[in-house]
Amino acid sequence: MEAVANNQLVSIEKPEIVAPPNWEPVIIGILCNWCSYAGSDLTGTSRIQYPPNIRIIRVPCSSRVDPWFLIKSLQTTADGVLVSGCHPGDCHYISGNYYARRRFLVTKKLLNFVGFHEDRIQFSWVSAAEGPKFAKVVAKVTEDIKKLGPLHLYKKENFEK
Amino acid sequence: MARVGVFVCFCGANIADFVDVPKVVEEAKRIREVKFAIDYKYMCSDPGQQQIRDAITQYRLTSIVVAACSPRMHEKTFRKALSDAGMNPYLLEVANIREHSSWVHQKDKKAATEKASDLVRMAVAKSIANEQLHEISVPVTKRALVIGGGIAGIQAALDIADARIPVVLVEKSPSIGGKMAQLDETFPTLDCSQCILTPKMVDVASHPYIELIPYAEVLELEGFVGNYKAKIRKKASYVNFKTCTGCGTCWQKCPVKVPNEYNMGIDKRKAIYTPFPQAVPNKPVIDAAHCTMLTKGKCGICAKVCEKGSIDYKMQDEIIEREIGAVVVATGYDLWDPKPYEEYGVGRFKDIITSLEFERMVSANGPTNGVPVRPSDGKVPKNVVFIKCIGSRDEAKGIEYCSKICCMYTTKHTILLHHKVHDSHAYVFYMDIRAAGKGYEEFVKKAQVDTAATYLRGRVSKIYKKGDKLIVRGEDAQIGQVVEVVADLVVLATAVIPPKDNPDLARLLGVSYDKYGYMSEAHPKLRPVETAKAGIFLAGCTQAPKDIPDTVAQASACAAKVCGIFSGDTMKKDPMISTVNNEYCTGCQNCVKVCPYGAIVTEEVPMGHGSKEMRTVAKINEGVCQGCGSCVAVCRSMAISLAGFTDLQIINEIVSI
Amino acid sequence: MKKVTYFPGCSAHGTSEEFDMTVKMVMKSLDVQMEEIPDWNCCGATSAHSLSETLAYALPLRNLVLAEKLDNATMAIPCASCYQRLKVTKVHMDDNPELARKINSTVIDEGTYKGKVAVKSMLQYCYEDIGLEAIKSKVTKSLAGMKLACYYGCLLTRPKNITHFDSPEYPMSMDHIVEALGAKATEFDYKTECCGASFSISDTEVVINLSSQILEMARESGAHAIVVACPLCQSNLDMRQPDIEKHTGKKINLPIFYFTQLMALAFGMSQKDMMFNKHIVPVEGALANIGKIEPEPEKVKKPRKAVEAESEVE
Repeated sequence: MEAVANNQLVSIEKPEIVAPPNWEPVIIGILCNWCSYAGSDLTGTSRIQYPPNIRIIRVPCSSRVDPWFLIKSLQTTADGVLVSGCHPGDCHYISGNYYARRRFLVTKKLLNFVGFHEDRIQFSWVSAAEGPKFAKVVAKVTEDIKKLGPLHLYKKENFEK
Repeated sequence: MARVGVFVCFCGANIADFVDVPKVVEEAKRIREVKFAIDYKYMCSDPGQQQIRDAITQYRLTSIVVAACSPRMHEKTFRKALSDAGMNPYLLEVANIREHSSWVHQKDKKAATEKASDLVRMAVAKSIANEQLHEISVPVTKRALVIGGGIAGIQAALDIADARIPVVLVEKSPSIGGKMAQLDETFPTLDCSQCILTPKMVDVASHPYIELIPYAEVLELEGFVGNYKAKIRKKASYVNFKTCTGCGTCWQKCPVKVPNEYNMGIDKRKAIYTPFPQAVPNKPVIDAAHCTMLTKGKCGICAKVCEKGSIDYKMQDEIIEREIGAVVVATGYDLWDPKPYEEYGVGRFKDIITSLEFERMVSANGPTNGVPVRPSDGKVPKNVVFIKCIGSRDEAKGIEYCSKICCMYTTKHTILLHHKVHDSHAYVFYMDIRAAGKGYEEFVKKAQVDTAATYLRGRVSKIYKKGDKLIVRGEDAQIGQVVEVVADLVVLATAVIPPKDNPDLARLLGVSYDKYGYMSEAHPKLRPVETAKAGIFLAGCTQAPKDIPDTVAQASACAAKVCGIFSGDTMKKDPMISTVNNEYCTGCQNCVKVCPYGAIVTEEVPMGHGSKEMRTVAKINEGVCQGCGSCVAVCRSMAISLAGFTDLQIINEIVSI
Repeated sequence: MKKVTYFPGCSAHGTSEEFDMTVKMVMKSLDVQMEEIPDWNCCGATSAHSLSETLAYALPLRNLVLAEKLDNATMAIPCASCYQRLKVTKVHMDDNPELARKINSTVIDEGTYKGKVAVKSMLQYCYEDIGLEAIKSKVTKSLAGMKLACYYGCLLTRPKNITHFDSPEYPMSMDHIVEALGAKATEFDYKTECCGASFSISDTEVVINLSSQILEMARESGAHAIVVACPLCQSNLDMRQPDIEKHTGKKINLPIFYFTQLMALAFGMSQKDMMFNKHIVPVEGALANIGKIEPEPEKVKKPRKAVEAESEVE
C-alpha cells in the first residue's frame, strides 16, 4: 500500500515525468451483469468503436464490488478503474447500486487521501440500452487516465514498448 | 495443478477479421496452466462442441475457457457441452472477445488481438479458481394466488385450477367480473358480454380447486418462487355469507341511496348491495362509508328484515394467510378522468359522457333499459358525437400512449347506437383508426357502411352550448376546414390507465412498474408474461392496455407458466448464491441489513473448543438468495463468499492482466 | 395599508384611460397604495417578439429591473398584453439564468435583475391579493339585477405553464368578482375565445367575424353587458360593435365594461369619474337593470344522473 501511494505521489508531485513513447494505459472495467455488461455487449453488436485499453470484468451487481478490488487493481495492473452499474432505481437486485454508490464515494475519498488522483477510479451508470453511452464513457475514462500518465512507471515493459 | 483448455472461436469472420486468432491461441499456450489450446471456425456448432468434449477427456482438463461471443449469448450452450463430457458445467469461463474486442476495435487489429489475449488470460486465471457447483433444488408449494377477478384473473384461475392446482382468487370488489361485466356487447363479433362471461364466473365459484376470496386485498407477500407467503385482508362485509341466501329483502328495504359504481353513477344503489344481479358471489355487502347504522348508529332495517339473521354490524376485517407457490397479477385498468379537457366543458355540460357511461346506458341490464338518453333532460339523442383519443396520445393533457381499445369500442358504439335509436346519426372525430386484429378492420368497414356514421379526421377544439344542444367544433383535416356539429350527446373515449394503486401493489410484490404505473414484464418480446421476479406473472391490462382476446390469451399463458413451475415437487435454481463460513463470521449482521431480499437470517452455533456457550452467525436462505453479492462486499471478516464470483476469482482476473 | 407596484402600460394613457382611472379609484378605496414604476417603457407588445428575441425580452426586463427598485413584492398590470410580455420574460429569465445574464447586459445601466417581484395581472391581483371578502365588504350599491358575461380574452390565463392563474379554458375569477359585487355571471362559453385583436388594423374582417361570435354568444347567455379585464378586448368589442351590427344586420347593444368600472360603481362612487361617456355603446340601458331582480324560477328536481357524493336518505 505504501509503495503504491509513494509511487502515485511521485507522479502527482513531479508531473514532468513523461510517459514513455507509445505508452497505453490499462483500464479495468468492472461491470454489473444486468445493465452495464449488457450495455457493453450492445456497444459491440452496434459496432460502436472505442479505445482498446479497457479490460472488462463481469460481476452480478455493482454492490458486489469490494473496495479491495479497486485498490488491488491500482496496486498491481491497472492505471485506472471504471465501475459501472444500473441507473439508480433500476437495479436488478432492487437496491444494490445504492450501496455501491455510497461505498464508491468513500473509497474515492480514501484513495484521494492516500495520494491517488480522483480520476483514477470512475463510476458511471449505463443501462442495457445505452450502447453509445458506454462507448462515450470508456473514451472519456481512457482520455482522463492518459492525461494522468502511467501509474506503474516501475513496470519494465512500459519502458520497453 | 490446474489443467486448463482454451478454445478460441473465429465466429466466421466476426472475430477472425479483426483479431489474429492463431496469435491468441499461441499466447494462451504460453500460460503455464494451459495444457491445450485450439481455434475453430464456429465453437458453438456441434463439431466445435465436440472438440471441447474430446479435449476434456483426452487432456484431463480441470477447467475450460471458451473465447468467443458474450457469455450472455452462449454460456449455457458451452456449460451443456461440459456436462455432456461429464465435467461440472460451472468449471467453464467465457472470454468475450467478440462484443468486447473484435466488434469494437475494428480499426486496430494489433490492439484488438492484444486485448483478446488479455481477456483469455483473465478468464484462465478466473477458471483456475472456479469450483464445482450444483444446481439447488427448492421445494414448491403447489398453490397459485391470482390477484384480480376480472376476465384475466378468471381465465388464469380456471386454467390453473383445471390442471388440478389449487388457486386462491382475491378480488377487491364484492363480486368478480371486472370491467367486462359492465360491457354490453363485445367487438368484433358483438357477443353479449354477460352471456360469455357469467358462465365463467359461475365456474369459478363452483370449481373445487378455486378458493374465491371476494371483497379482499393482498397486504403482504414474502418469500420466493415456490415458497411465497401471502397475507390477505378480507374486508368486513357485515353479512354472514354462510347463512345469507341472497334473497334481496335487505337491499329492497335499505333506505340509503348511493351512486351506483356498476352503472357509472347514472343510477343509485343501496348501502347494502350486490354490485349487479349476476354477481358472484351473489351475496350483499354493506358499504360501511354510507350505511347510517355503521356511521351514525341509526337505522338497522336490514338486520330487522333479514329472516336468516345474517347481518352482523360488528363484523371486523379478517386477515387470511396462505402459502403460495406462484402469483398471477390481473388488476385490470381504470379510465382516465377527462376533467383537464376544459375546452370541452367537461364537468359543466351534463350531456358529455364517457364511453363506459354510454356502454352502461346501451346495456340491456343498464340503468336506462338499453336506450341511450341525455343526462340533462332524459331525452333520447339523435345526433351523437364520439370523440376518440381523450387523454390517449395527448402529451399535453393525458398520456403519450395509444389505449388500443378505443377505436374498436367506438366503432361498436356507433353500431349499438344505430341499433337502439334507428333515426340517430353518429359522428366520430378520430386521429387514426387503429384496427389491427383478427376481423377488426372488417368490423370497422362494415360498421361504417351499416351505420352510415360520419367519420371526421381531426381533433375537437371546443364544445359549447347553444340552447339545449352542444356545438362540437373541430377540424376536418381531410378538407382542411373547421367544422361544427350540432350534437345532442357527446361521448368521450377516455384513455385506459392503470389502477391508481398499481404501483403500491407492485412495490408490495417486488415487481417493477413503468412511469405510468403499469407493471413491467421481464422482456417486452420474449418474456411478455413473466416479471423480473421469479414466480410472479402478469395478465391483462395490469401490464398494458389490451382488449379481451389478448387479455384472455395472456391469462392462459400465465396459467401455463404457473403449471410449469408446479410440474415437479422441487424447482431448480442457479447455484450462484452466497454462503457463510461460520468459522469467520463474527455475527456483526451487516449482511442482514444490506440484503435486498431478506435472505439472510441469524442462527446460534456453539462457540467451539468444547464450550457450551453459543454465538450468533449469519445464515443464508439459499432459496431466497438471488446472488447479487451485496453481502460479500460488506462482510468485514470475509466470511461470506458468492459462488461463481468469489474474491479469489475476481482478484485472479485483476492481477493477471 | 397594502402596497403594490403599478405598470399602467401605454393604453392606460390613451384608449383605456377609464380603466386606469377606475383602477386607481378602486385601489384607493380598498386601501392599496399603488406605486407607478418610474420611467417605465413600452412592453414591446406583439411587435417586438416578431422582430427580435433580444428586444422582446429586453423591453420588459428593463421594467422588471426598475420595478425591483420599488421594493414591493408584487406588480399589478392592467393590460393583458403587457402582463403577458412581462410574465413571459420573468418566467423565462427565472428558468434560464444564462439567458437572463445575456439580456440583462443590454439594460445593465438600470441594474441587475434579481427576479424578486411577482408579476400579476390586475384581475389576478384583485382576486388573489385583495380577495373576494375585502371586495364584498366595500360594496355599498349592489349590482343585483345585472347579468354579466365575463370575457377574459386569450392572454390573461394562457399559457397555463406561464401564467399559473385560473383555468386556461374556462376561468372563473372575474365571474367570482362580479358576483361579489352582487351581479350575476352568466354561463358564457366564449370567455377565452380570440377577439382577433392582432388583425384589428390589418384585416378588419377577421376581427368583425370573431368578435361578432363572442358578442352573439354573450347575448345568448342572457347577459346585459360584457365585463373585460383588457384594454384591447374592450376597444375591439366596443368600438367594432356598430360595424358588426351593420355587417350581421343584428342589433347587439352590449356595453363593454372594465371590471374595475363595475367595482367602482358597486363601491358607490360617482358615475362621472368612471368615464362611461368614453364608451361607444351606451351603458345606460344595461345599468338600468340594477335593482330589477327577477324571481328565481323554482328548481325542477331532475331525477337522472346522480353526481352527489353524499348519500341521501329517503
